[in-house]
Amino acid sequence: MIATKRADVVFVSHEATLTGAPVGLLQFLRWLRANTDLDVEVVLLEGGPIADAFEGVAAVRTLDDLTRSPAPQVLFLNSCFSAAALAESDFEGSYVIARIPELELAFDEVLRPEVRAALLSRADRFIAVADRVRRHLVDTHGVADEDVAIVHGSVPVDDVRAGLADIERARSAIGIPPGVPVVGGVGKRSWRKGADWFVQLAVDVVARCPFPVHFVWLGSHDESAHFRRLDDDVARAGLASRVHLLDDVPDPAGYQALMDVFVLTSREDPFPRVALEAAALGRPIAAFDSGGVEELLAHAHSGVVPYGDVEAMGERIVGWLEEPASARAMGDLLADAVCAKYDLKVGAPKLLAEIERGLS
Amino acid sequence: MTGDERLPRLVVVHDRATATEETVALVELVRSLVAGGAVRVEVLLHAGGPLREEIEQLAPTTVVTELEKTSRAAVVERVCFRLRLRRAGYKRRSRRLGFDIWGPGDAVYLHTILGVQALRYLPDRAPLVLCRMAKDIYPLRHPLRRGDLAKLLERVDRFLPVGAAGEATLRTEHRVAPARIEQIPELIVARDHRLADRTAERERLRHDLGIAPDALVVGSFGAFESDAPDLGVLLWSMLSRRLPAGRRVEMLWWYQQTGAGFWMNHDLESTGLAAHTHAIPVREEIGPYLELCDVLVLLTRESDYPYGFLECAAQGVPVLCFEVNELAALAALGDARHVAPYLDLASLADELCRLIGDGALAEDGRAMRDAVARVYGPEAYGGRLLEVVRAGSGAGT
Repeated sequence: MIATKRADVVFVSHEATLTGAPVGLLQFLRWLRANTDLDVEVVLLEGGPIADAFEGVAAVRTLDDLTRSPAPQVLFLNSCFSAAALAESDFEGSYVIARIPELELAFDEVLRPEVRAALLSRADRFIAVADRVRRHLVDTHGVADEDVAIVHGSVPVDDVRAGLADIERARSAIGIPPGVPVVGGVGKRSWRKGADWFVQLAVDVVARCPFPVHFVWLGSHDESAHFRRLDDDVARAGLASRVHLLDDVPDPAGYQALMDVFVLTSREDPFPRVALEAAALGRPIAAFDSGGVEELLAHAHSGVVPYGDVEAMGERIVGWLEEPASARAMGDLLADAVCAKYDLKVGAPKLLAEIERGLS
Repeated sequence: MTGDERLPRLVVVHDRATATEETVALVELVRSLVAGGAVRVEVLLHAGGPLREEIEQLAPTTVVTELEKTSRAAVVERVCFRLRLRRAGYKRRSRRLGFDIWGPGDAVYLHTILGVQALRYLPDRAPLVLCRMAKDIYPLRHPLRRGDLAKLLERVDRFLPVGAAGEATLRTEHRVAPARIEQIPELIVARDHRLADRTAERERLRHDLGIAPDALVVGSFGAFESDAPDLGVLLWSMLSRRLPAGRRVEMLWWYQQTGAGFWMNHDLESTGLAAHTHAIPVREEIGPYLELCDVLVLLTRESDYPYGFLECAAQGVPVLCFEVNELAALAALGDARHVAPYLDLASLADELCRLIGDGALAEDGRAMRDAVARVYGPEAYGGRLLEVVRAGSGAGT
């Protein structure tokens, strides 16, 4: 579909998977549709399971269509990988916004150098999803501080809800006995998400904790031999009855709410949505020093655990399990912070303001 | 012929008497068998070498390349081979070597598969033939010519692989019947003066790697993802947090850059351990690096282990591993704490710290060395070898 008129905003998503950046974009587009009359289009560089959902909220076009149509007023690159679009055109006349939900590993190591260079030279405005990301752009890549806005990631808090029945359904589906505490993590079973450390964490907590604890990881494996084999590791360590590695489920809130402690074992995660969702559900969060999550935890006067220090994380978790009141207090503080600062209702207008800068 | 003629005869075959670990082990095996007095030991070498004299002092020894060439029998044999009458030639050589007549209970033992040529000097049925399948994981892929490999597979009555991988290769790749396979533990003899002194090489390597003279070296080797480099990095970071101030420890890590390697490097950088970690690509010869290690940790998800670890243990280097590994029984002989439940890295880190911290390294190293000598030494190996010979002879093979 080659457009003859110039679109207000074209959003470019590098894929349409059930991962943070595409899901966040989809939610923002829904908000835009409900709250503005902007003429919005979407380009998906790769497909994925939520591609159809994008069709429901905006006109979805190919990159080829986009380059043959008049350049949009605002080109919104939803991740650094979306900047691959710049290889096809420099979109002269467009105001290019680059939203960056990536840190060193993805931005400096995985992103192709020519894409990175095009992104850094062409973007008129950068949106960092956390202060840590802003520092990376400014300190490492020389982006002018005034060209970077921080708009933290956000989630639609009203949609992240689970009742007691949802929680019990999840508990029953997994087969965790009533009353037994649960430590959980969410994400693809991959090196980046630290799913291997989750198993080590289970080993540590079981050794440390005087009462039974179960562990739930929600998220399918990344197809690599290593993570396909993680179940075998669990079994050989004698933890098969306590550690549950689950694939993605359609409605995860009940599973997330089941978690007495949410752990973020990622090796790199700029500002993870799963942590915001856990916080929205009032879960205490233990996280390695792996990105912007420290900015979330600061609201609960808590800090991150040193990178990869499984034992320190285990100690923290067991402390919370032994003193549920302190865990609840942390969860309450996080829930308040998400409502006040990281709800889509708060974050979306900030993103819109950045877009309106370009439109003006 | 010497010795008690009433005893069964055991001919030990080896390719050459060079100063290698294999030959030193063979010498000690011969010494042990002779001392045991249960068999009449003879040695057949295809070629000589520096250890030949020592072997000759232990048992009657024949070196094939030095057989006399002027007698009538030798000339006839040579003519047969020139006329491409190989079978007739081998038959004559068999007679010259005294390999044409065998009694009940007699046996031939090939110390390595390179001894395959000796099989051509033997009659088709007697004696019983045993062949040790040495430490390589794929023993029969050793550079044997096709005809030699076929001869080996056809004539050997009992293959003696030293590990599960060798047994699996025999059964699956070469379709050797299980009844012809007897897995026995490897023969390990500590390095001594008979082998080249590698001190200078070790010191050069240490210098090249930038390892300070007073630093202790922990070796953990995970070449592939199944060998758990991820666990190695975690263990290393746990250990570094436990080390007393001022204690210098360096990690040697034999690895291959796999998909996990990117993340492992990231972990090492992010935990500040990269400066004290020495990654040795798998293409390098592992031996010299192993010799730098004061203690070894094996974290593999597989059940087998690198034989280099056994050789180090024989030298008195404590080895730590998970209980699921084949090495666990031996590692525990150094100290029960050297073996941890699967994935229990904290226990291994505690144990490493104890070893490094209070001088237990030397004591446990001695225990390790003694244990290897007991379990893998020539007496143990020779005893098992004779058991297989007796069982094979009794079965009328």
